[in-house]
Amino acid sequence: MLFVQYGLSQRKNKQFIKPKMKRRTIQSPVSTLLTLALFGLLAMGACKSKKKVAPAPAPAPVEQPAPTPPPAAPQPSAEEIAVGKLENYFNSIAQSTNVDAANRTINEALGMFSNSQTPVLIVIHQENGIKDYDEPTTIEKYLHYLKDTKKNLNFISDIRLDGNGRVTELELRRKK
Amino acid sequence: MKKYISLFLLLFLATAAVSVAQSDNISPARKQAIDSLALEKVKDLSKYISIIGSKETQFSEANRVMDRAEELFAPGAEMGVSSLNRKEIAYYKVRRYFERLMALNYDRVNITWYDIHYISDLERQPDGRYVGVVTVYQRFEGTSLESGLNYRDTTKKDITIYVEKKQTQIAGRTIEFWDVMLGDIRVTETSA
Repeated sequence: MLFVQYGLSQRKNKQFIKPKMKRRTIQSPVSTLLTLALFGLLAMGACKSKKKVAPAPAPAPVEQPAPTPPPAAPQPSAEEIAVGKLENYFNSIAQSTNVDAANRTINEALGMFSNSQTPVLIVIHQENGIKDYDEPTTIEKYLHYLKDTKKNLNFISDIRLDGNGRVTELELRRKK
Repeated sequence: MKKYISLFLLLFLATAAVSVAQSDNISPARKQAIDSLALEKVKDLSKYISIIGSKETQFSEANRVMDRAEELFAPGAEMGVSSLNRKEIAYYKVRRYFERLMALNYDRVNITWYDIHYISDLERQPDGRYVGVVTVYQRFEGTSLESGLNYRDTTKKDITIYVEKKQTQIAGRTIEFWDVMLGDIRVTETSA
């Protein structure tokens, strides 16, 4: 019984809906026009966006500042040059196996000093700013020491030059 | 009055004790640097002895090295000399020892020192000096080509080391330095 009622009510509904749908089909040309207009607008929009994607005209060249050349390496000071030369002399003398050759190098190296008695200080330790020194020596004795002992235990930690670029004092330090 | 004098003496002694204690305050790293410095001097002496003894060394070089070697010693220091051929140990002033070493009647002399180490660490003495003892082993080889005479021995030697803080003037500045001086070198063993 219930089924029959349900079937009836469905049929009633169908009857009610049908005229509504017909009304819609009557209005369809307007909506079609509207839809077409919408599409048209969208298409125009799409065309516009395509224009944007197209390569833009090259921007006017902006004048770039000329690349600044890298700063020139600072020239080594007279002291740095002297230290480099002396370290080479020290190594050469200590490694020399020939006494005459070592003596020639010693004489060459002595030419860099104001005199052969130029003081050489050797720092053996430093603590709280206080330096402990070995007994001060002279450059002549130190160069011969390198030749005799064949050991170069120190590096140059300080150097003083006179107006002629000659070494007037040398401070060495124990290599670690 | 006596009371004040004794009080003043007491204060003076206390101040002196504090100043001695302060000057004795050397950090282990600093002490290590001084120990190394003194040991390095002994190693330098070994090089000098080898150069002086070598027959390949020019006379002028040997004399220069003798001066450097002599500077390592405290005034009046003596060097012990032993031989497998006699029991006594002879002692010479270091300069005399170097001169004898240079004049040894061999064609080839080779002297090497090895196993150089402290047998008694540097210890501060009441006079402020540090005193220690370093032992070395010396291998001596002398060869005469004509007679075919060869002499070899190994001696163990003890070297007393004195280290003292001194001052000197360098370019108008006062520089404090550690003065290392070698004392007598005593022979303690001789073997083939």
